[in-house]
Order: sequence, then structure tokens, then C-alpha cells
Amino acid sequence: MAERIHVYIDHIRGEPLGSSWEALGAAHQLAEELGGTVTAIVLGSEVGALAEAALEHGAEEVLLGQDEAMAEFRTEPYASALAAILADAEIVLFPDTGRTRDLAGMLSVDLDTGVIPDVTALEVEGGRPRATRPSTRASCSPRWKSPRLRLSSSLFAVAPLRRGKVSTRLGKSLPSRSAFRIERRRSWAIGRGRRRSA
Amino acid sequence: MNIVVCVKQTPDTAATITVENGEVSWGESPLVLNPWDEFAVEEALRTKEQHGGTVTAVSLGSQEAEEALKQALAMGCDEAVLVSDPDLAGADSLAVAQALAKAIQHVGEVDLVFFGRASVDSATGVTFTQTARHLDWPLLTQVAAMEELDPQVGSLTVERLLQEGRQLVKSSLPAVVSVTKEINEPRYPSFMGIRKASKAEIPTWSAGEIGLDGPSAPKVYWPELFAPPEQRTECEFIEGETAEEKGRKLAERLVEEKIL
Repeated sequence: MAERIHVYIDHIRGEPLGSSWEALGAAHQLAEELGGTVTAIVLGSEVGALAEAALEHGAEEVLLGQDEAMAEFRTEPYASALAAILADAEIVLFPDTGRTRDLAGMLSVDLDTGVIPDVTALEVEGGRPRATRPSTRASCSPRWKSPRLRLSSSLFAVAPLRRGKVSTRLGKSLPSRSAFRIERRRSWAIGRGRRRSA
Repeated sequence: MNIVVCVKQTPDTAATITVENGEVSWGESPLVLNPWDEFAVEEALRTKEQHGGTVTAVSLGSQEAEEALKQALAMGCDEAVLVSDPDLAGADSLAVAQALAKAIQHVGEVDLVFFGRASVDSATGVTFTQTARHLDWPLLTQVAAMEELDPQVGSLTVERLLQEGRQLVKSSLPAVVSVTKEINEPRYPSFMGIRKASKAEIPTWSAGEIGLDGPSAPKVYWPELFAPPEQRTECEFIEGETAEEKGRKLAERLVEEKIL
């Protein structure tokens, strides 16, 4: 089953937070086993360079959402933006950077799906991903019934792959989630399909 | 101020947790009020003491969870409510949050909801986030200090403790707040409080009563539970007549183990 695996790239004013690339690596491993592709998501203001960096770190595509109002991270509007972008997503990985726990939690409500934080291992079993996380000082391995999952991940390597890019423009209105709009202005045309050597 | 504090009953952190036949067991240890939630209860009580109003403790679980609510009452909460329904057995954090949001709305015109930073058992730390999203209220997590609260204007300023530093955040009310252990020192239940709590009749609300028809089926479940790999440590004494001999033998041993 070919699946698109999405990875949220966390950053502070364009500076990537380390485990974002680890999450990208974890996504690649999963994509290889499931036969899917990896799409990175970069939200913010003036973060084009970070989108490029995500491609260099191995994302096959990047969904870039930029707006001045998105310059400072705030959980609610960021979650609304993600919910709009990821309405049909199957698997979304988050780096565990502290605030992504809140972000993934809100997104899970918007998409009516599960969230598995603190994931320490990801495997594929019977064509479905399966995550392991610590709990109650014993390790537990929850598995999800729904075709989607959210999790924070850590500690994986990265491998550069193909290039591709999508630009998404975000609306101005911010605080209320209902007021938040995403416009897909540009198509999947920019620099797509070029293979990068490792 | 109409304040709600959401609490959970968990195993004692002093309990020895084992995994037997895929089930987590904490032996004969008692179940307690989730230690992180004590900070939330304390902050709810302090807020009430400063601004007036009532504090209602809300928990979701089996009848057993009444004990955790009694501890919250003994600390000084005015009311306690247990949300319990067979339909909620096996609920994941998403379903729990949905039920808690409904229960909070059922309490009435609530201004502020407090949560602890996570439960010590499942430890997902997302229930308050999901509850806030269900309510569509502002969410303030990792709160280490309540800086300013104005119930008349309906505004709240808090200090959040983040990985990157401290952040001052202003929000409107009603809001959902999750607190860290830096925020306060939870009080011990008073003797009078314990007496009052032991006599208290705690109302139980079913899913239907809080307007939850058919809670959402769990999206996450646990197909397997296993104990973490055991960490083995061995202790070896290096014997010798003199300090020099001991040192030499130790060095040889370390080279043998490829440490040096």
C-alpha cells in the first residue's frame, strides 16, 4: 500500500529544531517498508530556506505554508493550518520538541484520530505501522485501528532523495480556527522530479 | 469564578510496576490521586481563595476513582463529580477528552479549567490539549506561574516554562491551563477536610447525562504490553596487596573489557 507520510518540521524563526530531521529519517524508514513517499510540512513566515533544507534532508516534497501572521508559533492557528493541509493524511510524524505534543493533540481532535506521543520505535507489521512508547515504567506498544496516526519520534538517520515543492499560502485572519483559511495558490510545479545525489 | 480541576486516579509512584501476561500490575499498592494533579488542585484552590467562587473536581473512570475525588475534596475542593459509563471503558485520550469537555460544559458556566501536566500511568500528556480543542477554548500548557487574573475583564496572564525559556502569555477566559510542578507546593488534606470528604456523596454522571451519545471509539489501542529490557549491572571487586597492585589489576581489567 503506497502511503504518503507527512513530517512536520519544527523550527524557531526558521532555525530547525534538531529532531525534525530525525523524524524525517523515521518517516523514510517507514516509507521504505510501506512503499510510500515522504512529504515535509513547513509553516511560518520567511521560511523558504527551511523548506529547501527539508528537501536536502530527504523529503520528496515540501508543503510550505507562509504568512506574516505565522511568524510566531502559536498552537491553535498552527493546528488549524495543519488540519486544513492534512485533511486526507494517513500518517503524520512530529519531532518531539515539547510544543509538538500540544500541536499533535489539537490536530488529532480536528482530524478525529489518535495520537501516540513519545514513540521510541516504529515498525511495520501486516502492512500497518506500529509504534512503541514507554508508559508506567513498563514499555507498552499501542497500535491504532484508524488508518492515521500522530506521533512524536526521535533518533533516526536521514537519506536524501528526490526534490519537489508545493507552495501554500495562508490567509491573514488568525486567532479563531474557523476564521483560518488556507489557499492552495500554486501547483506542484516548482523544481519537481530532480534527483539529488547523496 | 467557576473553576474545574480535572483529576485522574493512578497507581502510586512508589508501587512496583510489573507486567504479567500482557497486563500491567501494581500489586497491592493503593490507587492514588495522580501526583501531577495535586499541583492542579492546589492551583485551583489558590485561585478560588484569591478570587472567590467554587472548585469542582471532575474525574473519569470506574467507581473506584471516587477515592481520588475524595482526596481532592479533602484538600478543599467544594464539589466532586465522577463521569462513569460502561461505554467509556477502554477510552483513549481522544475519547476521554471528548467526555471531559462535555462534563465541563455540564458543570455550567466554567471560567477556568486546571489539569496536571500528565498522568503517571499512561503519561500521554495530551488529554488537556484535546479537551481544550473540543471546547474551543484557549490552551495554556506548562504553566509555572499565574501572573495575573482578572475575572471581571475575563483575562489571564501566565508564565509558561518551555524548553527554550520562559514565556509570558495573555489569554481570554474561559481557558484551559495545565500546570507544572514549579507552580506551587500542594497542601496536605486537613483533618476536617478528610472527615468531610469521607462523608461526601459523589454524584456519578453517565455519558448520556452529559450529552455524550455514543463516545467515539478508541483510535489507539494497546495490542501488547511488555516490561522494558532489564538493565543488568555486575559488581566486581579488584583485590590486591598494595594500591599499586590494585591499580595495575584494574587497568588490566579495563583493557580486557576494551574500556581503555
